[in-house]
Amino acid sequence: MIGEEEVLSSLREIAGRHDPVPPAVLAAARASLSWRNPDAALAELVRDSLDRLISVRGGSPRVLTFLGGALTIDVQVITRAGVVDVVGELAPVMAARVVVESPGGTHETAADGEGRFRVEGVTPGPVRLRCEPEVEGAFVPIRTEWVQL
Amino acid sequence: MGCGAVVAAPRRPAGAMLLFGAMADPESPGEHPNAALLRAAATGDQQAWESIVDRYANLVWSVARSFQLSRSDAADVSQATWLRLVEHVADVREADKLGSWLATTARREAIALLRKGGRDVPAGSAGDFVGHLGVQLGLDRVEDEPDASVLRDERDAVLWQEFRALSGQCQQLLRVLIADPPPSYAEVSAALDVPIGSIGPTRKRCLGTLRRRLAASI
Repeated sequence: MIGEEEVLSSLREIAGRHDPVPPAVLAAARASLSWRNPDAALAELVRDSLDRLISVRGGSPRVLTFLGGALTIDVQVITRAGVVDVVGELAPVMAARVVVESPGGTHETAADGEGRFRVEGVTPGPVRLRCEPEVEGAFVPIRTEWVQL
Repeated sequence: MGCGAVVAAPRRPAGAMLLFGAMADPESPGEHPNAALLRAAATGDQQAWESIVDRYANLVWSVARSFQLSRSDAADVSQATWLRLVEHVADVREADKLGSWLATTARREAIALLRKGGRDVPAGSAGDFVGHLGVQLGLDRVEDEPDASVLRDERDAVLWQEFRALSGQCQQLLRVLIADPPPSYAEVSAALDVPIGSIGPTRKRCLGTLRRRLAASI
């Protein structure tokens, strides 16, 4: 009977030939260092409606809350036709540029007088938000952790 | 001499080198090579970063695929895992456990992706529900399968077919074990959220089943 190690190494060889890391995936991994952003403070995901034990189904948007320093960012994620819309609110209200970043593209907007912002047509996948003050020095720039939308 | 040491040269502020001259070697004695690579990557050293990626890309991919994710979903899991390492590249404390950290992160990202898709992910270890997932994730299983006709020879085709006929738990464990280079048991434990001590016995049972079926089918 064929040995354990032989079976494993045969399977490894088959996987190497037929299920290798796709070149585009490897290239994206190598390129991801460019997303390093040590100058902005990290805002952590503190709440995700997907984590609730009883998940809400049937069209209720996903709700995420990030907390970074004194800034809270609440975000609703609306999925439609293969893209996602991101509707958010900053608290306290700040004059801020908001950038929705993903390897698939970057969308920039500004929070309105009530701290609200909206970005449409984001490609699903890993996404993060960057908030920067409109008035330099008004607050430390914030980047959220990456989340899969 | 490999180029690793050159790639890994840490870029400390001059003051730090003066104060800690003895530690300025690219790899301090007893230090895991990942430590120097991580330090360099944290300052934006692309070559150091690529050394890390090239070492662990297949492990991350294998963990994602072990959750029966399609190639496209596994690509998102891989991307999310590497972005998360970039996010924390300056504060990974135990460089020798980088592989386990990546395996854990890839597992969490795979589960996050499954949740996002509205697929039920019961609480518990990954191995407890992968069979159940396999049923739910039948989606692009067929198109993603190595086509039996392109497998190099009949023996490979039979082997792969019998592998795919194993329980979800066995397929998941073996898919991670056949990552290249072969992962440590600590990394497998992190990838599957199972105790290290359970890996040997499960591996033996799964390979035993596979070998018996191969013996019967050849």
